[in-house]
Amino acid sequence: MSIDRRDFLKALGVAGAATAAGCDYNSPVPIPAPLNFLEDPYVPYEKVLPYVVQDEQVVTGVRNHIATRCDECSAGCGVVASLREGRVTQVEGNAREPISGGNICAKGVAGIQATYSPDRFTGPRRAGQPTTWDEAIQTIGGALKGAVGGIAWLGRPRTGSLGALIGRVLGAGWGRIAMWEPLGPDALRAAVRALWGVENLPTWHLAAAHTVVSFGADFTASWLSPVEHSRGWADSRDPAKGGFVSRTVFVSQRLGSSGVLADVHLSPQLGAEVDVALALAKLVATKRSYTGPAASAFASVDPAAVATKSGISAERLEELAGWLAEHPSAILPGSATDSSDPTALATAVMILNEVCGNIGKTVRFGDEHRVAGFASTEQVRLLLEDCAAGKVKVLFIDDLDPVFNLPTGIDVAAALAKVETLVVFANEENESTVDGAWVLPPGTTVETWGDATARTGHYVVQQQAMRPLHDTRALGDILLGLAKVAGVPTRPPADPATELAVDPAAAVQPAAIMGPDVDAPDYKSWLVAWWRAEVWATHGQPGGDFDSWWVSTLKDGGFFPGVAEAPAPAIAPVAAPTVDGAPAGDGAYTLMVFAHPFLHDGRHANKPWAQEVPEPVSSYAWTTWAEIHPSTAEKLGLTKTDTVKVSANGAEIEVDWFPSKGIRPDVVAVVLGNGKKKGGRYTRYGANPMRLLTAATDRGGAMRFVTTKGSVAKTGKERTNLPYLGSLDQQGRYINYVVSKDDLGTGDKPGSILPHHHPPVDERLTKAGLNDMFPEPNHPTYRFAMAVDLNRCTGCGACMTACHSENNIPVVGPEQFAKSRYMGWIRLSRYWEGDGETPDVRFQPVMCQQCSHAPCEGVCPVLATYHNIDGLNAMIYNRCVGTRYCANNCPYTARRFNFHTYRWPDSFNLMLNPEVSTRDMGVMEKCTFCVQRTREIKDRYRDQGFTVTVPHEALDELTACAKACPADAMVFGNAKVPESTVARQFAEPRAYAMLGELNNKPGVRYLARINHIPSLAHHGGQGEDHGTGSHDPAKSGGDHH
Amino acid sequence: MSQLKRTLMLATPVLASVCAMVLWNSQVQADSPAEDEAFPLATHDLLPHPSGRHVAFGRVDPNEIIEQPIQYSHMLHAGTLNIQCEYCHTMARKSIHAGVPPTETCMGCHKVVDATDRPELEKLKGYWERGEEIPWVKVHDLPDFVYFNHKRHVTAGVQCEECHGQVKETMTVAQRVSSLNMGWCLECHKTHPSVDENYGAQAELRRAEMKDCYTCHK
Repeated sequence: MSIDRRDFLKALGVAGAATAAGCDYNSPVPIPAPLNFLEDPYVPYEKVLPYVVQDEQVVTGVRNHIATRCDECSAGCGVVASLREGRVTQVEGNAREPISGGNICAKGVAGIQATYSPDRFTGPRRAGQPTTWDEAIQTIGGALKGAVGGIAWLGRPRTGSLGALIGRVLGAGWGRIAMWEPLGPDALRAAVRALWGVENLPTWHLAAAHTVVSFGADFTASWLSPVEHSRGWADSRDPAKGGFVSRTVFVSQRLGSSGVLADVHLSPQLGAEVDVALALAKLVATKRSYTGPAASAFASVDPAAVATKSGISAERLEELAGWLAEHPSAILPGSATDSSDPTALATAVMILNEVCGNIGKTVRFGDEHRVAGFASTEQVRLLLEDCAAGKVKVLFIDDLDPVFNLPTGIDVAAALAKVETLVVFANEENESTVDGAWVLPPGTTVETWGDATARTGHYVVQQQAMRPLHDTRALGDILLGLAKVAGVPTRPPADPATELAVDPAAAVQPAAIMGPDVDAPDYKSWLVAWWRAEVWATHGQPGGDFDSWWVSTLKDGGFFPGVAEAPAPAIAPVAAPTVDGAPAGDGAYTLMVFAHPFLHDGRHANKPWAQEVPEPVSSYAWTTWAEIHPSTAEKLGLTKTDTVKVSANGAEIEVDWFPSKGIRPDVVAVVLGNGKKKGGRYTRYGANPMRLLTAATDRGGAMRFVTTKGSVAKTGKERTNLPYLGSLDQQGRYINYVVSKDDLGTGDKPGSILPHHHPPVDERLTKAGLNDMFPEPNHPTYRFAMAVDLNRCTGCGACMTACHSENNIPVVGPEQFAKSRYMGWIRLSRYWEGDGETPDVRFQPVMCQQCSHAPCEGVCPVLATYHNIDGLNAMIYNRCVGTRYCANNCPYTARRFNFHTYRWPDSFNLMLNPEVSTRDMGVMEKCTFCVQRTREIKDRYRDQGFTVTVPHEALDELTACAKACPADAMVFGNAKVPESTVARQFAEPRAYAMLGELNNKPGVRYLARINHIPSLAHHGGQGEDHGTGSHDPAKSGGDHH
Repeated sequence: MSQLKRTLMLATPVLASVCAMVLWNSQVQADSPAEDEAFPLATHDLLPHPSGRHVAFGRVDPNEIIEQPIQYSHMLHAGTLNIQCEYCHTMARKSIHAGVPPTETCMGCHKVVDATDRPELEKLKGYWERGEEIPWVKVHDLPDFVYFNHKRHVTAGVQCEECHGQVKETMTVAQRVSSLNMGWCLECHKTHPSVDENYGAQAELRRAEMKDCYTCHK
């Protein structure tokens, strides 16, 4: 007797159909009688619609790439958009563009969701009703004519040809322009202007810094140029790059997205961070015998008094000053949210940079951030005051939401109500698209032409990659239309300096006024003319022929001549910056706010990826939370599931809370980004802490966010939104390793972590002369593998977001997220280890480990998962019946189960990757090492000859996560080839297999993080120093979901 | 005895699965979340509507004629007129798709072909003049979880007719002659002579690769 597997399955199928027929799905949609697919395998007909006229560059089924620009922040990265049959399905870094270096951040990846958002305006609107573009341009243009002197522009920083066009149309004696970045570098700009008389900002080159000191700046997440800083920081830590391992020091009241990377955390009393910077300057100046002009600023500083005031011991200050004096360093001032007087802090930090000799080395003028002419928050406040006073007749708001982004101390809504003609350029509803306003949707970056010169010697062009999905019109085209109706002079003014003289006290900022005629037929021809005049001609007409130069520029995504090393400007003698005002209020805790690494100030809140990918430090999603020190939480009697009420200035918000060991006990910090009153369907979560703050600005014009004392109390309500990671630490287990810098290059096996680690079983067996029972399977050509250098990883979350984009991973929403049904294939594990002064936070991206001897495979009853010829742990979705045995048996919890058929609004389906199946309810899914990409590249090389295999160099950044990683921490490749990067990483002494003792033979190796804690070997192993104790089996398990 | 054993062996998993399904359904009901415009959840959307027209995977029906917007004849074009397949299906060597030609390709010839009193040609002209895509109905439709690459097959020397049948000789309207099911695909993957011709000494390795699920499943 025998029953083969097929008979068994048939029997199951019949039984299943019988059961299904008798059940009620309780669904609003009538479900037809179930069909037996074995007997009646009918599916609907599909149509195939060919082009009427096919572009010769379009090959259906093959993706095209278009170099364009990322506009999610103001850093100025270039990106490459992947196009399939005319729609952009993905954006990735542009390797030819130097800022991004071919990488991209999480915000950049999620940017594509703005284009396909279901909440977009489908056309222009007037007072909430649809209107036509003609009517809009005629009416607004007419209003402009009668409002000379009463016209104002409040918008995001625009550079390049668009910035020039805005200046040309609105600056030419017509009105005033305030280009403003909420949470922007106002303070740093004021400091640099005061010290060097330079209007632009220097750039930070972290790769050469032996010590990176940040006074709160989240430089890998939201500060100035995060992608570039991530790469630089990772290079500085990598002993293979500069031959040294940099030390990261944070001098701040809380540790944020970048703060958790700190080796040393010095937490000064509020307001004392400025004194700390000056005291350090004094100490370093003594060591380096610095006697330059900046010495006047710290002449009277007494480091001993600062130590007392700040609560940081004199020895720590002395030690830090020693590091700074010895080697090149890079010191970063915090942004406006990190200090009660951001301008004083920025000034003190830049003086410290000068004293340390960093100017011209790690902090460079030359390739500056071009922010000259942009408005400070104070200027925006003045502009809004004028609006409230009725002085502004026509106000344009460009891609900003001032009602949401400014504290309630400024009544933006009332100010906007006083404006006669309010024109808001926005693709989606926000709090500033008030009733009565004209709302003109300008389209998204992939739908329109544009450009940016965010840096000197760096011109990015934004090519239109696809046709607009809706009836939108590019901002430049709207402006040119308005210029024609309003009769803006067609020629640029002969002498812009005099014709455009403006009152410096007012919020009027003459932008770059020069440019081609406003007679240009459309914005694209304006843009080309501007590039010809301002880029091609001013750089010596490269190539001699503009048209061919322009084509190559478009291919490269821009023109990047760079700048010659400029001598550092001379610093002006300054007095010691004093700190204005301490936080006031009747509460016990100083309130801070901080930018969300994905939502930033809230502008990305309507992107489901930005909301759902767990914030790396807290692992929270779809919510607002307050960071509270565990000791404070204990005092307040908070438990894990409590929510808290934060109140100040007569307002209160209810939020979740996160126990952060990196925050001062007397400070509570609330994340920005959520709690919109008006916005898309994904913005209705959490609360907006701006409601608690007053609107004071400091003398540099920067917003002073840290001015409020408030109270915090338990609400008594239970939170519904649970974190993704159930545990804060490793619970004494050996999952994420660190190795001391002291152990690198010593002993038989330099930097090896193996003394602290159970070696893989097979290694022990081999040593004992026995044979492994589970030999490595035969991989004739490829053994696809990945190495993740935890020493480079910044925990930014770009890999997770890129994986969502590449692999059609569903968005489950807050309700399902709370049930631990997040579907992301990469889990960014985060462990807060140790009880020392500095929390030892370790990140670890965990994806399917592609084991050669995988525990999941043996338990699959239907062979839906198996080890394939290329070393992949294959997962065949249409074979899966959803027993979930595999997920139960996976020691890495790398598998995700579809508890529902998750869907999203239809518009998002346009960005699905057609090379990856979408999965339905009841199917297990997991990381496949982007099998569609390996398949595609093998296919591409096979075109050269049937037996041609993929060279290992072509594989290094193949997977979506490795391609995105801003820190280049992930390397993919063929481990069969010893010369491949991945094989060389595998051979590193720092490399280890996660849970290697299980003998799963994973295809992923992690390279242990290097820290600066003295050799662990002398202290009896890392378990005692960095784990939370011995390996206690009772504590293990249940860590992750 | 053996009969009883067999019955038991069959009955046990069947009973177990019935129990599991009942439990599962109650689970789904209890868990059924509220309808939400941001997160629409479908409990099941695999089942086709019985009133719709359907094509069968894995079944070849010689009488099945799919109604197309234009009664295009492969027999005439590829047979009588002897136009090469790749004249229209230009992407067969470049892409996963062979490519249904853009209307422009049709009009390349049909601009000079007299359409008077030929209703099918008038339909074509109509689509062209309206700038409308011709809504052809797929004859060879693979499930969405299957990756099939025309380029790989055509460049390996697999003839179009091996899968698509004798379109030149017999098909006034394109018909499916192959089942396109997995066994049918694997039959060639195991035995097709082009593997030996192209891969020589590595033919065995290639055949092993071609049997890997990830070759075709995505």
